[in-house]
Amino acid sequence: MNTDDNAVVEALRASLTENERLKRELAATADSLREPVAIVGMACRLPGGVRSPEDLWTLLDEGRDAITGFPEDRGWDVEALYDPDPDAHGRSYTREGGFLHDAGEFDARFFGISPREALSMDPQQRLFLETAWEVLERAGLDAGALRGSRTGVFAGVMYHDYGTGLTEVPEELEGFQGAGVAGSLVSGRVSYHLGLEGPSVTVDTACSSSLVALHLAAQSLRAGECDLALAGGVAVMATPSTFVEFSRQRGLSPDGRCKAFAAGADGTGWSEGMSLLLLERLSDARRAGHPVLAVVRGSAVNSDGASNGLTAPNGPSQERVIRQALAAARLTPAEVDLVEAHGTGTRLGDPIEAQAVINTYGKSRDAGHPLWLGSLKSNIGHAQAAAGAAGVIKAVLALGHGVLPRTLHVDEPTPHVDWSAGTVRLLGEARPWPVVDRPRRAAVSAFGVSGTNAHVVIEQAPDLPEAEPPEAADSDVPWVLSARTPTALAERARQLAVYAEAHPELDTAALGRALATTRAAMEHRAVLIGVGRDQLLDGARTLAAGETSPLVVTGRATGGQLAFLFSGQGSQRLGMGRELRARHPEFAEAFDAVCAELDARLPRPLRQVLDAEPGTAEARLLDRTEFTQPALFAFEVALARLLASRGIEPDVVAGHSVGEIAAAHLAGVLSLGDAAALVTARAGLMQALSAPGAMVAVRAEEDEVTALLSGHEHEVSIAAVNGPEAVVLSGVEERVLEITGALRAVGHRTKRLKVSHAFHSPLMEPMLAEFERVARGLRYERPRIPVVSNVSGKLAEGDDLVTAGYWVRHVRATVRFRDSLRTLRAEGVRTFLEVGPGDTLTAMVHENVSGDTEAVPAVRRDREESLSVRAALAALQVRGRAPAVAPHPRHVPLPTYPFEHKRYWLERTIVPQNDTAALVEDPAPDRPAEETRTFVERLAERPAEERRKELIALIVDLAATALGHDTTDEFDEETGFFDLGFSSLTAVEVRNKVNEICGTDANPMLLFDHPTPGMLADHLEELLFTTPTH
Amino acid sequence: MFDVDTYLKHLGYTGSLEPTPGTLRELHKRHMMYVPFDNSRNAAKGLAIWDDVDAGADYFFQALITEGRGGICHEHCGLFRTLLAELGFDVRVISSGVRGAGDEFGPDLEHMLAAVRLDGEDWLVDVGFAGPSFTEPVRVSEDVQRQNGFDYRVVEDGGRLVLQRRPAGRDWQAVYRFTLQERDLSEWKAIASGDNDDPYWHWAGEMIRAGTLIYGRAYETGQLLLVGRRYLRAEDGTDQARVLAKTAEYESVVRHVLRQDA
Repeated sequence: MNTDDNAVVEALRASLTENERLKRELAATADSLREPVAIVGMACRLPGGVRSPEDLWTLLDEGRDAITGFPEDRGWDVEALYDPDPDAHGRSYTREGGFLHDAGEFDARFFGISPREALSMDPQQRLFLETAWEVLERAGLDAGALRGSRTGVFAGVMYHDYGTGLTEVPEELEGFQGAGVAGSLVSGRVSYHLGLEGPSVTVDTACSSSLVALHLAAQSLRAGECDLALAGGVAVMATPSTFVEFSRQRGLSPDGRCKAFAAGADGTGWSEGMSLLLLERLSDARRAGHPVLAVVRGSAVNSDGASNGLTAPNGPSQERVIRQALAAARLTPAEVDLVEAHGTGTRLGDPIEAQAVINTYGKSRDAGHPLWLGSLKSNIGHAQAAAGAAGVIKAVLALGHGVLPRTLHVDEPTPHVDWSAGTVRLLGEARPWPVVDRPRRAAVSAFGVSGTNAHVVIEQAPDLPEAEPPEAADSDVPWVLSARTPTALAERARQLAVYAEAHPELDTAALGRALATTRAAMEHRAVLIGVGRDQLLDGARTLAAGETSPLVVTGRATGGQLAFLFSGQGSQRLGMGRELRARHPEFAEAFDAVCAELDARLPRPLRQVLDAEPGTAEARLLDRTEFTQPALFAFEVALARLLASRGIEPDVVAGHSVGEIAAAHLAGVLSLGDAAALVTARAGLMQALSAPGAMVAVRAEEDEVTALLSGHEHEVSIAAVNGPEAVVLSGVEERVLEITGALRAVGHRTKRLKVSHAFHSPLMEPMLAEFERVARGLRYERPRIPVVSNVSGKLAEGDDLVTAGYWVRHVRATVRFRDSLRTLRAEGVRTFLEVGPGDTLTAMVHENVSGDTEAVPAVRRDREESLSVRAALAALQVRGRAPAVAPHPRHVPLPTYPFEHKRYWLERTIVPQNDTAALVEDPAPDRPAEETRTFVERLAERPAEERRKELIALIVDLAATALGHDTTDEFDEETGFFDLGFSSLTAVEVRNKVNEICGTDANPMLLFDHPTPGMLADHLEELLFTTPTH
Repeated sequence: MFDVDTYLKHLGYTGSLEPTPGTLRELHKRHMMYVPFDNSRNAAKGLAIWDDVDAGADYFFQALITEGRGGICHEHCGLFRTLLAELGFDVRVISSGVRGAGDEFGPDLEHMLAAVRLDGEDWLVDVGFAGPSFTEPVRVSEDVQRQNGFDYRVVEDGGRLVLQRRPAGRDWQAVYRFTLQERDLSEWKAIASGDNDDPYWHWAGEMIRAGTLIYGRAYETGQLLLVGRRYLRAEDGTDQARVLAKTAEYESVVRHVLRQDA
């Protein structure tokens, strides 16, 4: 072959390879476009008090009807609105519907939204926000961890009428109203408040909005545009205009019920709802261990096009959208068992829809396997923009339960449909799901008045292989709870206790892992550290009741650094570490490794001394410094390793005297071998010193003590400065006692320490040369984490820690522990963990450092060691340092966040003179006289308890206004004004407002003397309503 | 009876008694640490508090040193002035108008303090201001002087001088406005008797009227100030305010500030 031929063959080969590659890519693309999308979470608010999918199933199972009278707290004139005459202008001929009677309720503080802004927000935005949080929790996702993720939000919304009836927008709401009612903000708010960065889209296709949103979300996931998607819809009717409008069209059922596909169908019944699904690509959901409730097999959206009327349904278009969805799902009609229909109960629409279903699903299936047809609207009415996704929730529940729920109000199938044209049957009764040799499937329809049709096919979740049972090693996982407020925290505890009792099959460790890994960590925290179900449950009940227990650690997360403080001599005790060795392999292994290094350099194995029977000669060896120092070193290093295995690492370390060697080892200055050599040499050489000397602790300031040392420096030193009035003298016994005697004479307390030697004194000098020789033979590295030096009381720098000379100085010099603590505080340390067998250093922290700091000992003398460690870890966790916990391999459902609701609803009738007060009030009665009466006059008629609430609401509102709107989320009756950034000026402004509204003459220090809304309310109550007794 | 040695012992001061800036600084700080601000004996008196303005050093000494109580500005000022004069400092009474919540200054006689002239320079000496303000004397100069992380300076403003304070990382803010003109105690007596009733008393004036309890003192590295139930700690260049809603905590803080918990 010549070279040309070769080139041609090469080119051909390359082109074939390229073809293969393209084919593979094409196939991969096609696959990804059809990749099943998993439904991993569902949440809803529906008529009939339905607050969860479980509630919905109960309602379906009981065949309940959720239709009620019109809401009376929205400023609707319910009586005047009703007129049975369909032609009566401005009236509705029905006075029933399906309502979210608590649609105005919202936990504004949870989302950091000021009361004023909450009031201006469309309740649809608020419902969507809370439900979004909830659906993430239900899927076991930490909403906090989704910040910045490619999570999409697809919201179906069709009403924009909140606040539209107001003739006069209150001044305080100007500037909020635009965002308050914009439909785009329903999705936008969720993305904003949860920090989600995928597509954020509000869809308005009228009554198909939420199903179209679901379709778009699935497309977006398959296209790789997002990794997780919230899809659903919300409908709240802030005004009754849609009832009036459809009354004129005679489209409403007079009794407000949807009699879907029934002979008795007489129009639709409007209702409200919020329904939300959380979607994820199936492969991702499996990998992440998220619960797969069902799978979206395929979906389609089309339009009626130029049909026989803008708002009229169109059968052929409905058939087309069904066929498109089946094609997308790669299914034949006979492979679907149930259609959850649009089924609104209108005389025109239902027959058209039924015919389309018969023409598609009803053909080519045998009589034994009919297509079952039903509609949720028969129970809850037509939830409009929320209806499609609500139908999906119902279908998913039905797939899971293996039951075809009943459709209510079917006297007999509508005669306007030729039911014989295909095998379709109406679900007049609930039925068990027919046995099929494939996954169960259901399809859901929704049609918008705009002509936009949507159809979605879902499928039972594929079976999962049983997950590996978790290892028993961490069977003592604590229960962690957090919330935005202390009251919500208590409620969470109550929920957990109830839930854990109702689910004895869930083991406590599984619950612990789920609590730690599938819930967002919020500022108010509690850790239940009991061992075993009973203790944990007791803890939860204790917390719920607002009581305290050593097994319940509570606190508030703060920023700041964590320091480890390694204890020095005096804290040792016989048997220390024995229990930790037995219970925690991480401790035992580290301890063994340290002992191996130490024992090679000690006259007898350290463990023999530590484990000796109390009272024996061997036991007494522990108080000989040659063993004390290595024993502390071994215990502290092993303890630090145990903490590291729980994911707790310090930002900075310090030690007291010999403790600094453990700190230096942890910081990477000395290898284990070299650290062991240093500590044993130090201990052994000190032991060999002949003059024992004395050490005395003195309650006096350093300067005063120093003055007395003058002329005795060769005999006595200040061994340590542990606090503002905590100094330790050390040296020749006679001299030390003489000086401390003088101190006692002028009123200072002194205490002689039980020590074998006068450490950090001139008496150490004979050992320094030999110690330096040993120290010179060691290798020092720069510390990997900052270490505070005893010698300087500052962060180690230069020659500190890394030279033999430093460690020699360290033996002789004053332990500047007080300065060390101040340095740590200045470095931003707010949490101190004492790593040692006692709590000596913890007490010193309390003595030296004030303000928002916490110090805890890892092990307490008076407690079981492992319980101590649990308590210490819990204390760190509530401060914001969470130990690492492995997720549970299976999804463990947990109660969702107990939102703390307040009602926010803009009334049509605003009292102009007192708008501030009117805003926080319940609906202002529209008696004309009311408008001219003052806030105080109106309050005077209320019972005292209600009055107090009103006053608190007023004060919180004024405070929120004074502060601007971003810092009010924390406000409740116990919040200190000055804890939230109040200045003297804002305090005076609020005082001025209070005087203006209440007609009081309070002085400018009002908020200084009554520093919380609750205290101020009590003060005002007394000023305004307490009758003088004389 | 006023007694220098007893006074110095109360302050725990054993250093030099030479009238130098060092002595002044140390005495000033120690006075603020060991003689707290406390208006509780006077809160109910309203403007009549000025009645005692010329009661004399013995009278103030009895209350603040012998009985170990705290006091208000003219008590501190009168006492400390006497000490400085005994030690040979050149000291005179001056007054200031305190900046109110709305940034306006109060009347000129609102607050009493002192000025000391040393080596040709004037120093502001003010141990009776609840603060937050300086704890060591501040030179009357535009030079920035740092204490406890806060910067201080004195600037001119239309014929008057303004003491400014700057927390770390924040802007300058006026503390009060003053002149170095020596005042006579009789000017304050006139307020108490109603002869000098400025119709518009500002912040501090209203504070006096309000009867709000104020406690304060310095410590080694900062200052504590309790106004009503608002507890302020000024340290490291930061004013940290906290509300003491719980009565037990409030009471324990009052004791702490008054050094009754030791």
